[in-house]
Amino acid sequence: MVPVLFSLAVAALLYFLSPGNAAAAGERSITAAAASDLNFAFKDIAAVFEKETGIKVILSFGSTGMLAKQISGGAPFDLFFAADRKYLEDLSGKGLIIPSSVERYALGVVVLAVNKSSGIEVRELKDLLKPEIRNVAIANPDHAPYGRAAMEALKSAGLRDKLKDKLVYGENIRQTIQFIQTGNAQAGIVALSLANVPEITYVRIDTSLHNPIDQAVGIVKTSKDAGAAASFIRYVKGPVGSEVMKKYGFIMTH
Amino acid sequence: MNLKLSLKKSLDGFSIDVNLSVHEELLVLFGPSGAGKSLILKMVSGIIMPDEGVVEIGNERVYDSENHIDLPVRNRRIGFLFQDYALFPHMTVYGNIAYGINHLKGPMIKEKVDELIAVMRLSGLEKRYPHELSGGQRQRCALARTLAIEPRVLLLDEPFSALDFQVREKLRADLLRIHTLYPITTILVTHDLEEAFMLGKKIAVINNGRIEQAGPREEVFYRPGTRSVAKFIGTRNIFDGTIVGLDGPLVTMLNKDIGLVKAFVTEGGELQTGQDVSFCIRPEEVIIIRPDRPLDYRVHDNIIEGEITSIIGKGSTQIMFLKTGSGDTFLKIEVPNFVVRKLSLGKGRHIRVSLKKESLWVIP
Amino acid sequence: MNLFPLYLTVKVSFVATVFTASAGLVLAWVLAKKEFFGKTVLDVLIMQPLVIPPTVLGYYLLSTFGTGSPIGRFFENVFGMQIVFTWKGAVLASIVSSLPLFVKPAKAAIEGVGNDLENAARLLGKTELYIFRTITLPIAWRGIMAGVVMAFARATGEFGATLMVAGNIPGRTQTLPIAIYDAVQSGDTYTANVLVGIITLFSFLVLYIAERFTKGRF
Repeated sequence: MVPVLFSLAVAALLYFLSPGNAAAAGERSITAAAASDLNFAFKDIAAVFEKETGIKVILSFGSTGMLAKQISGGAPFDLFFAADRKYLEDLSGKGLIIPSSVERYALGVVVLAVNKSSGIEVRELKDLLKPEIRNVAIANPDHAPYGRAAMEALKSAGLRDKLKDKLVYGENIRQTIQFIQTGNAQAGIVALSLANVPEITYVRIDTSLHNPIDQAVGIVKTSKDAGAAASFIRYVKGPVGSEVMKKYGFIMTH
Repeated sequence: MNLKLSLKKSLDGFSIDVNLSVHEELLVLFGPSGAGKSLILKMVSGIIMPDEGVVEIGNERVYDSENHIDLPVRNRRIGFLFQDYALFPHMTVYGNIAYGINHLKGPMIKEKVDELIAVMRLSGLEKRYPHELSGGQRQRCALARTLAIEPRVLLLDEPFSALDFQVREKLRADLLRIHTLYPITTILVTHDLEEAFMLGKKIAVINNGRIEQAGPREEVFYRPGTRSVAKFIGTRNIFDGTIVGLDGPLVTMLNKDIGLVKAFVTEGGELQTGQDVSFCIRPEEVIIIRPDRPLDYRVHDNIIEGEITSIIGKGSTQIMFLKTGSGDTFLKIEVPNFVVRKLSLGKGRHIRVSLKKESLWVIP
Repeated sequence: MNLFPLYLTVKVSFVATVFTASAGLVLAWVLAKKEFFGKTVLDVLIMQPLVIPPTVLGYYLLSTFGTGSPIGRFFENVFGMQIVFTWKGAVLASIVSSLPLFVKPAKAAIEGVGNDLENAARLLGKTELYIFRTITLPIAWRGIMAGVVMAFARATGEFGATLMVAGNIPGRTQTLPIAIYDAVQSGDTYTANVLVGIITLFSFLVLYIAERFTKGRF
């Protein structure tokens, strides 16, 4: 029994120590780290992009903050679509992103969302004070750009302190929406791009209440196919990409 | 193989300092619980490290603290029988016995194991597992396992204490038989008096980590060297006395309760008149004076009168306690059943007993 | 239905559990039998992953084994492999998380064998390794297997630290738990349910086999 375990262990060790697999021959593919709010939009764009160019785009979604941390740790992404330019500049300063590749690709939009089946009417930010609303979900303002914007909006509207006890933070903007979808939070402030789900109704928020959500992209220095990466960025900002982005509520500014 | 040991060890609040010599015989290490008996065995075998000392088997020093010799346990070729047998639960009887010699050639192993199984009366049980054996069978299996490696020394740590009376008797007989067949230098540890008496031709009495007396059985049992040894070996009838007369081998002592007591001593050299001593007599040596017979000259002296305060049956004998003297002194007497019946002895009866001079033992 | 996450999880849990059991057995034996300076520290260190939040654990692992770290660079230079953001990172996260769940029961099982039996074997002339193989291990087998099962279950379900150290890269490091999380977050309840069904079935199968396997012992 011991010899069996021993040989198993040796085999596993050898397997573990084998060099990393080379990519499949022929097919060009790039990996893009993308902020959670781009979930629906980018899945559509990537599919069309692959059909047109034959380049496969592997999308890895997460909160901008976590993705930035992973890139600092050497994550093998080619592109980083952040929800806030700040992160890109930070990584660029660390020498991990090609500085000249940093550019805005969209402006994010936040909306005031409410769970449909709760039956509560929410037309403006002030309505969040209603007692029937026990939990208000926003993304974590410390590392999620949409959370930051939501917090800014609440501050500008003078509601921040009054809502302090009701606020529930989502790990990223997707989880935040989930809170409202499931009714655990009756309402919240979320990204427009993710708000088109059956469980939610929403209303726009005055954009002057918060700093713009400057969503920027950059090419990671260690990318093995900067060319393909660059062409994807152009595609997102191009006619096809812009259409999809606008459909999902992003503001395209060029 | 001779075994010589000289060991010291200190533990919290307790220390051991012993010297023993065993020559191709069975030595019983006897003493109360907590005296350090098991600890000594464990030190000899190497399971526990002494603080300092020497252990010598034959001509080989297996342990010598001064010269930094400490032979690993597995190389000492010492057989050890644990109190709870320590049989390997996942192996059969055969497997257990063969464990120590399983590096030998197949036929040799079988021959040896078969022989031991026959000697230990374990035939038919080879394929059983320890949990399927009775207490006695387990112990015999453990002994067989130990003997298989042909140890130079055999250490038995209270091997029969967990068994009931009949099984114990049988196993003690087995042990004596085996010791005749395989005469290995053996130390047997026990706190059972009967066992010590039955098995030990040579006995070492240990108390509080020190050997109080070591010698042939007769010497230890009938001529205890100290009060505590006398107590341990069950003499019980230990009394104080002051020497009031010395006449060669005859000593006269005065006990404030019993009165004058005469005794024979073999080495009376160191005794002096006026000296405070102890004297004792074994319960079975007390002679009951039959009222219907004339007094034999041998029991003229040391006649004591008293009232039987209790009688306890002990199998083939009875223990009686006799209240004597002013009422504070009790004499423990052991008599065979038939005597009790014949003399109709019972609680409340007054009888006379005699302490034979030759049976009294004086402890300076 | 893309079954890559299932394949990856199976691969990761098995490899991780082999490592955990091997290294863990040595650790369990040392902790059970030996006394040495710093023993308590070692014990606590092994238990740490149970207490630390998974993401924090992942962050520590990332810092220690990442491409910028000495250890990460060593593996890169000597073996030509990268640990983080590959399936090997997932294995690492699983090993660290499941080690305490193996060591504790294994240690208890080894201690349970008792000194008397091992001393008896020593007195019969056997070496320490032989005693470990023929006495300690067979008797402690049940407890050790319990530890293996616990470790495997933990490795299969590993999520938080894996997400940090290996990332959520579909087709590369997206294990079954991460894929489920991803599906739920995207609102794709169908995929989520299917994947949950698969992982449940998988664990059920493995645990069932493990149970039957350990039945036959004495």
